[in-house]
Amino acid sequence: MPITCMRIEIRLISSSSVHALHVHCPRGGVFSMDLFSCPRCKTSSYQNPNMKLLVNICGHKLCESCVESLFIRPSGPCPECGVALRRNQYRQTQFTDQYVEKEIDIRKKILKDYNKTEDDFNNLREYNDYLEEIETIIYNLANNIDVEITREKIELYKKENQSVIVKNRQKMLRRDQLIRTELESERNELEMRNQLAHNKQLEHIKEKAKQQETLIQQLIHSSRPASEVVAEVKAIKQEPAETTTTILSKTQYKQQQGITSFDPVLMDDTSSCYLYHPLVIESYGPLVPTIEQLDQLGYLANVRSLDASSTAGGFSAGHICQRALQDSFSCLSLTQQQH
Amino acid sequence: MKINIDGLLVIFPYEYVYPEQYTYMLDLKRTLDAKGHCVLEMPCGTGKTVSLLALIIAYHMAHPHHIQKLIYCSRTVQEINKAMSELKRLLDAYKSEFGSTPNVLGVALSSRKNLCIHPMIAGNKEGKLVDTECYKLTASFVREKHKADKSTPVCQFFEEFDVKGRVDPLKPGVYDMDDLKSLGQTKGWCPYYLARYTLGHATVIMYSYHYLLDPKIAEIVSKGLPQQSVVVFDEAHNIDNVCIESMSITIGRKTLEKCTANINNLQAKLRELGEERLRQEYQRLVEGLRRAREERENDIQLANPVLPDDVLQEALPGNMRRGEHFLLFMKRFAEYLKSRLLARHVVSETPKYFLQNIYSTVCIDRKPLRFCSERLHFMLQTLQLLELSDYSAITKVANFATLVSTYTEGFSLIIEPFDNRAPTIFNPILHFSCMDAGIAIKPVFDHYTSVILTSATISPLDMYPRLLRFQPALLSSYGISLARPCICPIIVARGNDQVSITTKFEERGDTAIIRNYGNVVVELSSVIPDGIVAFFPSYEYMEQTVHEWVDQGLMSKIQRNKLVFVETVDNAEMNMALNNYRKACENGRGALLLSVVRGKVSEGVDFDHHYGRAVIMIGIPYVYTQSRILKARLEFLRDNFQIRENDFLTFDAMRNSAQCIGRALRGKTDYGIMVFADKRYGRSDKKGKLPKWIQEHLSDAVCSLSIEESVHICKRFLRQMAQPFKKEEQIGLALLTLEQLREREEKRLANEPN
Repeated sequence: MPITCMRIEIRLISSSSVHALHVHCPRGGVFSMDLFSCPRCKTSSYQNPNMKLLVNICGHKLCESCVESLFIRPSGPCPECGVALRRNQYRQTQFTDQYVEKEIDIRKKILKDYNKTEDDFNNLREYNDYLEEIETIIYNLANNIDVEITREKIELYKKENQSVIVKNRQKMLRRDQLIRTELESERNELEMRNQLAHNKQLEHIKEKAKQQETLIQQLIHSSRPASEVVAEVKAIKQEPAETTTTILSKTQYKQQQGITSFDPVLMDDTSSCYLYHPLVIESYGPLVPTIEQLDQLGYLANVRSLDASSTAGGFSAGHICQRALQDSFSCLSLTQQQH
Repeated sequence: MKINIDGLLVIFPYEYVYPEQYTYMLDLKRTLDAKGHCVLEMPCGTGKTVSLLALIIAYHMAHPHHIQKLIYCSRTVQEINKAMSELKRLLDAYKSEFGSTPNVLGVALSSRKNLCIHPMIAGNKEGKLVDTECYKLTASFVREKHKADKSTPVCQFFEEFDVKGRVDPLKPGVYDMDDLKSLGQTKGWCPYYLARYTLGHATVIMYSYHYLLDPKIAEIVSKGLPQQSVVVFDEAHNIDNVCIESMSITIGRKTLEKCTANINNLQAKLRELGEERLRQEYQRLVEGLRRAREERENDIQLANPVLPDDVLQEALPGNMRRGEHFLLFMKRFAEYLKSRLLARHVVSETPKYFLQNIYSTVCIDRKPLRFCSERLHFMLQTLQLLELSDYSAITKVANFATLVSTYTEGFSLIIEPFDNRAPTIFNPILHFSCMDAGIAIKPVFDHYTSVILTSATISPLDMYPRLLRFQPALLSSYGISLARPCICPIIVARGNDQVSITTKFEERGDTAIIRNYGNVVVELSSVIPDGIVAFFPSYEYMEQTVHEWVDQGLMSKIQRNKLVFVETVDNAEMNMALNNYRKACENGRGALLLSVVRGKVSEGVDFDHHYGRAVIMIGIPYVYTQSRILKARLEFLRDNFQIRENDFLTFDAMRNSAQCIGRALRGKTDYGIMVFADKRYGRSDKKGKLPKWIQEHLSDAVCSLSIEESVHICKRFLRQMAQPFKKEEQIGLALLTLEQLREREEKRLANEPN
């Protein structure tokens, strides 16, 4: 410890930069963001700039070397809270706040199961209540309130909503992918547009230089008065300048590239399932009997029986007879007005 | 005098009218008839304000249903006061014409800082402090407490106003800030709330831009003003920047640290608070936001930035209904921002990408983010906190959350790990910057019948409709009619040694160029009497140049001719320098003020008559082009408005130099020399972007001069201007009497084919 203090002192004196003063200001909050130290061995990132802080599910931090030495075996207790931890669950810290680190871990786990969306509920009110319930569960778990009861609740929920959970997970995955590809394509497009604009700019500059050159050449070699030559060149200059000034807008760009729309169409999962309604055909004539009825009504007696080769296609005599009847029956009662 | 403008009787408070005022009013009338928006440019000192007021008031008198209100926005308190006194003069003219005061009520509104008369609070220098002090005495829960327990202090002025002020509205007349204050003193009413209340039924409202453009303030103050109003933005040449600033947010590490502290503080407060109150709040939030908000005008200090109405009708998302849940939500958000700020390289991303990233890292959805600022506002109210200014950090972060989740287009997020000025010190800043000036001003264009943008230097006119995205009914720029050529613009392109002078980035450090700039100032200061103002493109360049001048001995030569004053960033220091500059001009010693474009001097301060006989523009004031924010904006303009980067940069540089140059001439009896000291000003793309009234006088003979030649021209000009000049000489040329006006009109009608 005393060594650390001395070093900081030395740096304070030797460095006149404002930053150094900032870092050592005891009340300034800058300290916590800039320098971090391991709670166990007290090494700070100032002493070892390559130090990595790791964190486990309980939210307590340890530096990489402490993890190495403490967890020689694959599992062990956390030095601060004593919770049994596995070594491979240590990961790089992201946030300065331990609580947040821990909470986000829990949240990610919980949200995997509690993944209903607004569409799964009848109204907004119910959905909001559901959201609040999730929030309470996470809050309880993160603050160690009624952990057992909450765990049971989660288990129960999982059992009850298994199918919904699986379905929503897939849905989420798909949506995630869609958004990702969308962002990706957007970025590519932006890059290309920048490139295009840059090229145009370069071209424009080149063009200008060339014009200047031709003007000078003409002035040197031409026998006409200078003012005439200048006026002529100016007139030429105006025209190509017009065409080069247009820079493509987003839509123009797309049209030029022949892209109508590559954007993935966001699927609308919200609509209700497809319902089959039997087709009703208005034939304007007497009803055609079904295949079963044909025999009873004696229609089949007037049809020649089929040989084996004719039935091979899957048609029976009834089908043919029915088709013939349909042809003859339809539109029998059609009047002029209906027409 | 009474003027007939296209069939409308206009009472003009002066005996004479300038020809350009007449055409200005004609165009204005046409715009109002068309119920459209317009952009008008008229030279400084030709009575823009009075013509605006005269015409619009006359129009209101003639068609009270067509135009119910005039909302006049300006930038500074002084400008508002000036406009107020013009309005007073106008109404006096009405009175002497018709014998009775017209039924027009004009009122000026400013911040609490300028209007407060409470003995304990007034006189506080800082605006935010006054606001919090006021809130402490006027918040609804404080007043409730006062009812129960008389020892709780409240503001007697507000109480008095609350009891009587609304019953008995102000009589027609003009009330500027001083009038309001003295009225408040005599009646015992709070002038600020009186003015706010009066906005509802006043005919003319004058206030600063922000009351209309900043969505946070506009929501509170300017809501409910009738659609049939004319909105005037005076000095509108920088309006796009105002729009952008009002929607942009920057967050540094300090803000985030303070935000975390705020959250911890609130968490503790929440734990102390009784169950009962929390349950009440919870119950209200379940119902829906709008209904939950008890609309008490003095309570609403923090409004949501820009939530659309339909969102406000919706109930709050369930995961932030409870106070502790919300605070943890904010904490997660703040921690996420902190982790983003650790990046060691510049990050630039779209809001869409940000939202996706925040969801995958800390599981924050877009919807609850939108409600952040509204939810925070509730919490602060429930906790009945008095020191609202302490919670500015968390408010800022919450506002950012709401903005970033509301707008996906037209914004960009930039994280810069290093400051431009100190590229070695790690000091990350997150800029959430608005690229599209149209977003903030869109509600104004949509809601009000006519919006008029006017300024002395608003060239090129066609740029503004593109930047602000509106369809103008009229774009017009007026020349200046002068009885004698009282402006003398010159472009100095070369030194006496024929070295061309420029502040081009590659060449600006050249000793020869710096010396030549010094020579320009030395030579001109020896022939021009009284005050000279010189504008540099940046503080940095000014420092470098002045340093060099001292080394080369040019500074002592200048000091032989003039006293030298330098503009600084510090406000108090600047005011002192300005006062002494004025003193030196008055007693004949003569002074030179070295100042910076986009600084305080270039915007608000007038140098009329002997205070500014000449203005020297040293170089073209391009903005710092390496800035990430500027780059992003240029890209946006290119992609969406087809404005080329160079076009915009030149436009911005030229409007700023025109603004600075315009400081020299503040009226028709004034005269001044305008020196553009850079060879690039001579090019047609730069020259063409200057206001028409300067271009008219910029003949080929005065472009591309050397120092000697320019001194010669100045001498001749000054000799000419020094001749006695009487008003009579102006009449008929630059001033018109009623008869002359009529004659002109007849001639014009005769010339027109039909």
